[in-house]
Amino acid sequence: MGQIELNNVDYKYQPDTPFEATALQAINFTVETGSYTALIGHTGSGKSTLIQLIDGLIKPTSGEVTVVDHHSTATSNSKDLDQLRKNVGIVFQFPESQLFEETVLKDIAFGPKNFGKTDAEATAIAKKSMALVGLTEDFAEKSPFDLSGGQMRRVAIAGVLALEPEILILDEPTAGLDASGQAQIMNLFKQLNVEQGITIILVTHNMEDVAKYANQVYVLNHGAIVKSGTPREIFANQQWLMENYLTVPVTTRVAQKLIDKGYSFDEFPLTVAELSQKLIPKLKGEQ
Amino acid sequence: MFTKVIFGRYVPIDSVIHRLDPRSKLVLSLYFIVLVFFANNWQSYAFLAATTLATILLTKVQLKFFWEGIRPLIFIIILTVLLQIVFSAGGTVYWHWGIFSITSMGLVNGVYVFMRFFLIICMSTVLTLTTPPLLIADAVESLMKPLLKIKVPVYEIALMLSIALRFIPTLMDETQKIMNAQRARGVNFSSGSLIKRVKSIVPILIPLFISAFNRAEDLATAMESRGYRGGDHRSKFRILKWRGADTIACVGMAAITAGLFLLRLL
Ligand SMILES: Nc1ncnc2c1ncn2[C@@H]1O[C@H](COP(=O)(O)OP(=O)(O)OP(=O)(O)O)[C@@H](O)[C@H]1O
Ligand SMILES: [Mg+2]
Repeated sequence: MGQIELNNVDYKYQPDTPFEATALQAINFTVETGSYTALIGHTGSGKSTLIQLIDGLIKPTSGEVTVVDHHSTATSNSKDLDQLRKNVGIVFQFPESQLFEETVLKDIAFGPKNFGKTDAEATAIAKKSMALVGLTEDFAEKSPFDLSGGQMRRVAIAGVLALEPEILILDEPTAGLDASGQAQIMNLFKQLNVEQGITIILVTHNMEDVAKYANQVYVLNHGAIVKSGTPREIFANQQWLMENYLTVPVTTRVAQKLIDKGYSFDEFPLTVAELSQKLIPKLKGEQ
Repeated sequence: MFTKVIFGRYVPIDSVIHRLDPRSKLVLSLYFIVLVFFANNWQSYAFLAATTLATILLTKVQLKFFWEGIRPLIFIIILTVLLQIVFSAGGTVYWHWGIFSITSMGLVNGVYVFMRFFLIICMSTVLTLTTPPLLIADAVESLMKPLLKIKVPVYEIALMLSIALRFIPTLMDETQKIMNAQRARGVNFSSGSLIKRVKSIVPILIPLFISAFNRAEDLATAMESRGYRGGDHRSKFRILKWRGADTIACVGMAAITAGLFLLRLL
């Protein structure tokens, strides 16, 4: 049994109205403690809906969601749903819109205070989180609304890290950041995953990130899980990915081209490092 | 949380009512609201209720959906009506305590007030359920055009109205998103003391205002950069057209008026 378990879950927006829309159907989804799971699928396939279910922000139309040892079903009340939220932190799509306090430090300390930390404890955690996301101390007393988009994003992420969650859910956390900012933030999440054993679920359209960081991938299409496996298994079949409106990492594409030209790899390379490691001896051998 | 309320929402299906010209729908529903105040006995209220029901059926919106959508508003009406009942006097006194009393006249009045509110809400809901907000704004503009002669800024008013109507659903979505983000950070909107709950609104309102202002600024910039100029220079994408069905609807309303005034004599 995993840390997060979805059992035959359906979700409909606005059921029993003319606006009814099925967002998820027959979802079975398992995430083990300490794993790094990527959730991919084209626009509107239900990724954001799925993570809202895990955080108890919405409850399933049918089926059961289990997070650690709390459950949510169609008949759960809001108290049950609150329980789910205790262990989970979510960085939403465009999280800047959650900022509201007078200063950056206060905004980051807002979450821990809500979960029962004292002012002093919350401030200490907030300072730590600021350092984690690469914000210097000069920012502490600034208004979050005077910052650049990328800085605001960091403040918002720090506000979620300050909850010190066991499970961290990221909905396209780096969309709109510059390249070095993206790498920095993504490395931070991986570091939290490896060093502190925090379970990570990453929603992304960036297949390079999937190849580089995830150890498990779920593919959503029209509200159903159509494939799951390790990144290597998922990216091995390029034809299938294209048919599901997904791309493959550049590295994998290069490798595939090489295979087409007669090269063979013992194991399909996913990242630039892997690919170059495999190519160097071959190139040297040919000289 | 907002999903059940249908007051002010458009349901995109096809029906006789949907196809009517927005101007006739707007004028007729305003006219009906006035008409409701002329009902003075149970027969006339029953007659108006029957015509309202017939109109709702014509919209082809499921009755169950319609009912669930206006139910939250009914609680507000009932509260108003209860106040009306305990504060009004006349007729047989059934119960009395200080300045409060329940009397036969009070009860009858209460029922009438309830019916008035109820019918008005139903008819306005029919209007908004069957007419896209932008068409309502177009209808207002078209109906107000004569006022241009007395220097009323009709085009500007219509533009403001259509922008406001256009952004209501967007702001609702935005509210939902911000609420989710704050709930994920441990804000609890449904429990705790009253003060605590009022305080929990701040983390929603501030981001909401900021995003609304940003949107307004973006919209203004976008309109200016595309050379927006209001008024007579603009041609219309949606052209309003009065058709046979609209005339029939007006005749129907005239018949309802005649029926109502006959029933008043009872
Ligand atoms: N509030 C809502 N009301 C009705 N339908 C909705 C609502 N939110 C989402 N949907 C629908 O549910 C489906 C799944 O939406 P969701 O936001 O989960 O997609 P997503 O995979 O996160 O997409 P993206 O990659 O664009 O973020 C979509 O078809 C969408 O239109
Ligand atoms: Mg999404």
